Amino acid sequence: MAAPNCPFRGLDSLWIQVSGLSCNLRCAHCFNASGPGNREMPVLSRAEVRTLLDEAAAAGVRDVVFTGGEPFLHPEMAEITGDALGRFPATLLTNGTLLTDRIVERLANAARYSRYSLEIRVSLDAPSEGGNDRIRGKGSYGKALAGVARLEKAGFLPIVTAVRFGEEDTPAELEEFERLLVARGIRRPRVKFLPAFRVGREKERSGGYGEDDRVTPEMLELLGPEHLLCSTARVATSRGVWVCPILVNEPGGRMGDTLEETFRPFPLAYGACATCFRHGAVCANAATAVREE
Amino acid sequence: MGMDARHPGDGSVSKQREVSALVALFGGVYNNYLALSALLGDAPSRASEIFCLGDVGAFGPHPDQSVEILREARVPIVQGNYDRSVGMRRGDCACGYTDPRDNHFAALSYAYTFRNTSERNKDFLATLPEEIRLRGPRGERVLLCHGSPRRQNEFLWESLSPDPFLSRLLDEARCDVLAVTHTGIPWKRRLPDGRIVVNVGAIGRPANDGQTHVWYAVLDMTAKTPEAIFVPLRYDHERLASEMRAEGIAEPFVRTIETGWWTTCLEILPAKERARGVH
Repeated sequence: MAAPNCPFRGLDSLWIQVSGLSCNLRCAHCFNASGPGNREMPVLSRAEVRTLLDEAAAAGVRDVVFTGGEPFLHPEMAEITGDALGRFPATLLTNGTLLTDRIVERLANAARYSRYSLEIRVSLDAPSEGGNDRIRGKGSYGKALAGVARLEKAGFLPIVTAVRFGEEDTPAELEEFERLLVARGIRRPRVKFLPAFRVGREKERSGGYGEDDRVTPEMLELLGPEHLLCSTARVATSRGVWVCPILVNEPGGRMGDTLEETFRPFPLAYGACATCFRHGAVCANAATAVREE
Repeated sequence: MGMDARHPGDGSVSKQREVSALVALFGGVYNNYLALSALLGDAPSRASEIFCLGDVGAFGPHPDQSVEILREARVPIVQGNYDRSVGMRRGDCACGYTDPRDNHFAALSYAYTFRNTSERNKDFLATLPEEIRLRGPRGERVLLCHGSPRRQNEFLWESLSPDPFLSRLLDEARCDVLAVTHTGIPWKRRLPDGRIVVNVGAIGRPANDGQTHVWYAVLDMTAKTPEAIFVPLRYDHERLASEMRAEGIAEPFVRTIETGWWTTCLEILPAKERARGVH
């Protein structure tokens, strides 16, 4: 059966894989298999990112999302964040473990002088040390929470982002995270859950997708493409432009060398597309669309 | 700048209604019929025409009151997501929230409004247009919609709306002045080419600034470049709060009316807007 095409409705969000797939952690569920020593995608230079920001402005972008790997392995991440915030709202997706006082202070300065929001999402996958470190690696819990506390102290309202492995968030899970954060001095805890994508390292862990885990033309017809990230976003890397952050390790996910040539429909032919379809756009803080029945 | 109304391919020009230079714009009534009555008393001294940008219902008391007042005064209304949901007898408000905490309060509010809106008024809300296009005295193409020109429930927050993005929205919608509501916090932006975007805020709840008054906007097209002026609107918020309690409306909604700080639907707020509040 032919996969349905997701139409492209214009570039709302530009994701930038600023540090490639290089990460100081090696999480068991990482969908793009980032980790220490992963050199598959070199980092982007500050000048390269500036060029991307120019292209994004020409396309009428709404916001920029920095991801990796771990963005703060990039030696100029604070400066790059400032470059982006001078023109657009920006989001940083980080594991929080490298957020020193000095980096946080520079981010706070950049955020203070921008008219746009800087969202900082810090990954934490369980409210307990044991539960988190089993997935994200020994010591990551304490370091991430220290990073969250530094952000809070500098006036940020970081969003703690947890991958959930079940189908739905439960209020009890949310309350556990909130209790933890309040106990750590976070006055206004913000917590979001994201679905696990069974690709990358998570494929080895969970067994990946079956042949039936696909978006069908009927499904797309019923709900519409508006809540799929690939209808309004692209991911720029040092190895070309890809359809979405989940498929950066999938050869078919690469759409071209330049941003503009990727502004076309994409076939939803992957198991991960079914997860995205069921759970909505990844990391979007803005609302996903609600389509009329 | 593009103040010329004759745009190739824009077939909607002839349907645009001509308006005078001063137009009052408000949205987000949320059943706050006391603020609505105050607005209808205040706005005629500042503007010659009045338009509502939608969402008549929500967490305020006695939903039919606001609909009846608007119908009686013959105020043209753009359909908001609430109006569409109530009119179409949908199961939820389609507010566009993504967080379960936001959706919890949205569901309480919607159930109250849905239960207390007459069938006649539901039918009326279903007939409202999704957008209204106006033509200013100099041919300014003015677009009134609820969320954004492309989606009834899109949130246009100040801190998430960079100039290139707004320019794209205005290009696609072929307008020089764009007025929206839906978020509940007023802001305005003049783009480098002189076109303007104004979010008129809401008259149904205060703007998360610790003040009990609410806001509407006057679009002023008397000068060469259009301007939006925000007008603070005071009303008997203590009476509203006591009527909300008498109706059994959830306490957090009442506290917002009394304190001016948002207590519900906070997760949708971007970092900057959230940081300005206290919850």
